[in-house]
Amino acid sequence: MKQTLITTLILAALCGGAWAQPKVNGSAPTREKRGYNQRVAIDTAHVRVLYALNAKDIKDESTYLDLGKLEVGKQVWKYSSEFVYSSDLKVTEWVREKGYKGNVPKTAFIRGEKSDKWSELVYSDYTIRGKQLEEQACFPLWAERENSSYTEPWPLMQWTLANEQLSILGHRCQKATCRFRGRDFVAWFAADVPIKGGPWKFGGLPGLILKVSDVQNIYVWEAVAIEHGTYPIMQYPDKLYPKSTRKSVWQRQKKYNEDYRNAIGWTSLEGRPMPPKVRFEPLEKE
Amino acid sequence: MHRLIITAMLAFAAIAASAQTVIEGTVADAQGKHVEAYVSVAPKGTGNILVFADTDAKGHYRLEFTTEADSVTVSASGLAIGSHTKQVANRSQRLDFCVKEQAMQLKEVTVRAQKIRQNGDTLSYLVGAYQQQGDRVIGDVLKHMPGIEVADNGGIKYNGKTIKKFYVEEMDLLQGRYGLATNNINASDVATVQVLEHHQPVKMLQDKELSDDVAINLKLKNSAKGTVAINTMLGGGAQQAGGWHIGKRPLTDSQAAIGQSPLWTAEVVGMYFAKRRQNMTLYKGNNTGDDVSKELTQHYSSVNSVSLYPFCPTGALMPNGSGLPQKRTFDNHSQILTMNHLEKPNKDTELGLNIAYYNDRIRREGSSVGDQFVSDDSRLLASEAMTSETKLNNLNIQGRYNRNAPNGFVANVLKVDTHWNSDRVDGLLASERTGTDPANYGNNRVRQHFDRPQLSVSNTFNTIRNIGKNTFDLHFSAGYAHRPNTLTVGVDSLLQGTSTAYTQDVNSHHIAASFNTSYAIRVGQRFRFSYGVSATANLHGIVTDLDGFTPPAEHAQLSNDLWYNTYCVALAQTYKYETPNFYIGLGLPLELYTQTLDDKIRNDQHGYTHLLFFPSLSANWSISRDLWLNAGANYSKTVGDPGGIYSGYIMSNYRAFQRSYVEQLRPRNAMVSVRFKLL
Repeated sequence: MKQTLITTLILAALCGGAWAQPKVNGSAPTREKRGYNQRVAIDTAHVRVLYALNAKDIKDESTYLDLGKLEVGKQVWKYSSEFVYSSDLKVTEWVREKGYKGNVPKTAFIRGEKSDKWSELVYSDYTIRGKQLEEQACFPLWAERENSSYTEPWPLMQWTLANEQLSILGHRCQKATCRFRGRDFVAWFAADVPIKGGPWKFGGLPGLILKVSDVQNIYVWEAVAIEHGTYPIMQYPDKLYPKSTRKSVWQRQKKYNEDYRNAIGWTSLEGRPMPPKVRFEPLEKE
Repeated sequence: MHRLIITAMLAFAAIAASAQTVIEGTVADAQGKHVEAYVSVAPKGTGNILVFADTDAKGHYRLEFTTEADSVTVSASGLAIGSHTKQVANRSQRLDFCVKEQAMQLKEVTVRAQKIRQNGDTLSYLVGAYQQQGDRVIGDVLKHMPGIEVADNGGIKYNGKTIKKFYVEEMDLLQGRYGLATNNINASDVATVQVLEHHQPVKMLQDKELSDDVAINLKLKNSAKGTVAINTMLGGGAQQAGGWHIGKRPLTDSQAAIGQSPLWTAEVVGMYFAKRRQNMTLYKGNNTGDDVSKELTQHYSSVNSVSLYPFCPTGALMPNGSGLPQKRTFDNHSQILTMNHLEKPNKDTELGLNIAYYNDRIRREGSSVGDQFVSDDSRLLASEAMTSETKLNNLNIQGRYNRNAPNGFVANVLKVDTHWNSDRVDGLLASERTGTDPANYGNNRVRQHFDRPQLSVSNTFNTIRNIGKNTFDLHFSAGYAHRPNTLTVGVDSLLQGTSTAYTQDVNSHHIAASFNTSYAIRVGQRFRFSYGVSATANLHGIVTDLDGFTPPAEHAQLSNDLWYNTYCVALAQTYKYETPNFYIGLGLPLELYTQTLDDKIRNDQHGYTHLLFFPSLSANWSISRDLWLNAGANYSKTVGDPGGIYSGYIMSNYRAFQRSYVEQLRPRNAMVSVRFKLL
């Protein structure tokens, strides 16, 4: 009796833990529909901050879900995925060398842990111009027709500053908390770096955000590098991402995350039942 | 009891209320303009920010906070201004910041085990994002793109490196005259500007040779492709002008205005860019002082053709220029007419024809006056006034065949260059002494006419083939140039009443041929050895005749008729070791060099043969992205040239007559150099 109780408790704990992970659902999209080789430079950045998303071991990038980069230019700031960008560069070079007109394997050259999966945090580009944020959202395989973009005012979070401090990347960071679209977040920002931005849509703090996560640690961004150099800020062409609204994009992203196969209209030829809906924890709950 | 608690709470509230501090003010730069910034406040010591606020449109901010500390640190920070801090007492006050722009100082840190490298080498700039008000042609927008610099003469550099190729839609129509593209293609027709780093134009060598060259490619909008676009521009005006003609105009009259009227400027530009054919034809002319020939400057040449330099040490003396901008002092009548056509019958083959004609008539005037005080009561006055008219007619035709395939490269370029130019100069020189003992030293009128046509033709052939893993390169270039020039000078001395005339004829030919082959062997990824045989021949035929000059010595020669030839056969070997960061190369060429001189007037024939060895060593090490180390050493000798071998007098200009003859042609100097550069 006692044994079964303990086993059940352990199993429940494990399942509970498993449920707390966001299941990256859906397959990675085809790069041609994303416009991988049609990016153009819209500004030049001299500072770039790299963030590891959901890293199991901060020193080993093959355990990251994504390596994102925040590029700080004069008029434009942008957060996007460096794994996706560098794999695009490699594919462009590979195609040019081999003169290959066929298909390059979809997940060739993409690094990170779940490289064959789609997540809106990996495949969306967030461009900030002044007080407006534009998201160019790319949807997973077979759903690329849904690719769209929208703009919303930025920054949106109302932060409360706290007194605790933490050292990240050699900078002394102060803690700040906020509640944003149904989730509570904790951020650590470096006041000695006068950039009011951070990963994803985070920003508005008097310093660069070096670590931010939700209180349940489902989504954790941590800065792994601050680099100098000349980085052209590249953007996908507008015609591949027609204008839409945030609500519409958010609902569709939720749909593809929760029940990918139903959403793309997949049916089993052998009459097998659909896999159950996944318990998905979206970053924006509303 | 309750009352005690309430009083205590009220007391606390009172203390809390009185402890709230308000600091407000403005953040502005030295000119009083507002700056984008945010202001934050932290108690002195802990550094934990209490509150922060953005500055509004007027640069005003307001902070309200409560703290126990006696003093606080208030910081105004922003991307463009960095961080400015002030320490103040913890009480309500007004605090203004006057800041200036400064670059952000950030340490570069990384925690990951490896760094990501950028390995794409094509960078695209969206023209729409960089275009500003007033930009009409693509050359104006290129100036705004970071990394790209456009010099005054139209030359383009990327990150300090001169570009080696300029393409429009991946085709090189203009063959180095890219000023025609940057000054005439509308900015609204170009979609993106691509910068191609590590560019290797020869498809065969793309995986074999690491190239450090940079190229630019313009990608046009679909609306600009496949259509014939014609732009025209006409302008006119008038200015105060005077009569101007050598010989008729009174030279001592400095009141009459010179210049031309009416003024005119005209342009007709036609362009066609399609997938298999490109054409750019244009005509530009003006007499308003614009030097249109600048657009025809050839910034790079597609082949190494043999250089032709027919010998002519004679020239007319021209009036000096002023230091003012050329557009204000250039009295011209310039026209250019150019036609550039490119056909691409299939993916790898190209046929090109480039014709450029430049016609100009340039007038110049210069004068100088010298006034010297010889003693208390006498002065020496010397004056020189010159007017000149230069007529230029340059025609340049280049025909090209290219086959650039992954399995072989063939190129053949035929160039024809003709000039028929002349200078006509009219000068008045006077010199006299005034004062107690006046004397007139001379009052001479000098008329010069220098007729200087020239013709050169050259053909260059180049092929690169693969033999297994190694490459074989063959290059052959031959050319002929002819320069029959005549300088006629007439000097009228008004004082002595005499007139002298000199005529110098120089008729020179230059035949040059150069042949070289090289065979490059790759051993592994890093070693490259190349061996080659090369042969060059330079034949100079010089016939000169001088009339009207009385030489100082008797029986001195006034004409020349000689052939001065040099022949060289060389065996070259180079050894290279190359990694992406390090390069070292050793060259050990061995040359057999022969010079012959055949002087038909003195019936003199000489020949000299030398065996020359010129070793050289160079190394280049990229320590990091911004630090290079460069070192080299070489040994070379120079041997005589035709300037030292003519024994008959040649008039260089009306003031100098010279001859020179060196008894024996021998190596003049040897040089050893070692260089070291840390960038």
